[in-house]
Amino acid sequence: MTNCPSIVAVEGPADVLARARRGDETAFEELMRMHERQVLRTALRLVGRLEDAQDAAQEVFLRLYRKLRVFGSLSEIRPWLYRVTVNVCYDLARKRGRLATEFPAGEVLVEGSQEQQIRLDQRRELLAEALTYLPEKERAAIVLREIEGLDTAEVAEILGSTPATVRSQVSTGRARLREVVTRLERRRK
Amino acid sequence: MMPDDFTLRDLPEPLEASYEAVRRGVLGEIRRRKRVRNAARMVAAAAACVLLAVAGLLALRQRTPTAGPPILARAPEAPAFVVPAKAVHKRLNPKHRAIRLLAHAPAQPLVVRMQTDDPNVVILWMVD
Repeated sequence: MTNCPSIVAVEGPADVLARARRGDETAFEELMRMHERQVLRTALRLVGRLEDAQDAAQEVFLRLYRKLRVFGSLSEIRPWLYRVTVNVCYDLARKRGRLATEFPAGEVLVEGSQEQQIRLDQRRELLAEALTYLPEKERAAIVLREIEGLDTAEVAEILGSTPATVRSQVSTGRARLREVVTRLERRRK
Repeated sequence: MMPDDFTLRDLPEPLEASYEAVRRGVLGEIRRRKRVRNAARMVAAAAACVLLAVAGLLALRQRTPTAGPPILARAPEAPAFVVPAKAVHKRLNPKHRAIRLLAHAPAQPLVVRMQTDDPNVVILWMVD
């Protein structure tokens, strides 16, 4: 009996998309894993509550599943996901009225004293809450440009506006954010 | 406090369990929708089969002749109507008529009928 070396097929991301299109659930799960951080994180910054963000992310991925045939390559999925995430979050916010704020349990650990850690956590909590007070367009511009790190042109395309408008929204949003954080800080003291 | 870029990007990430919950939810929903779709397809296929069967039965029923009431008496057949052929009267030259008659006379035996006083007795004389 001879020992044949096992052949392992190396799968590229394009194969994952093709298999997912054919209805392969494992491939679709792989696609979700590739984009879940982008979707859930953006949704969380936009809606402010983890539970709502999870609902939004779920809806986004279900829409992706239905639209799989539309995409020719994986690179087309990322901007589409941002656009749909923003729209789903807008819809959710409208449906649920004012956005609730909840500071999610974080995984980010910063070395230093316990006091420093607490102060940092408080700052993050304040910022996360302040974000939910911004008007939705400004909030989306800030989240995509400042948190997700997309360039202005990409943000403009996702939000269906112009780069000039995005620049203005980011600038106004930052000013407003500063104002809200100061107000929240004062209220807590 | 100034919300700078670093602080904004440093906002905490959702826990790993949150991503897993989303994945589970999505896959569960996809499977549920698939089941519903398959069930709907089965129902549609069954309905189509029933419709086809009904249509087939109706078509068969229309083709088979239905038994009529029992025959008690037959109507007499209509007499055959024969259109008589139109007689062709050809005018002959009177000079040729006798010759023609003789020529076409059938070869029949000449019968001479002789009557007697008794009406019941008739003498027939056949000449070849």
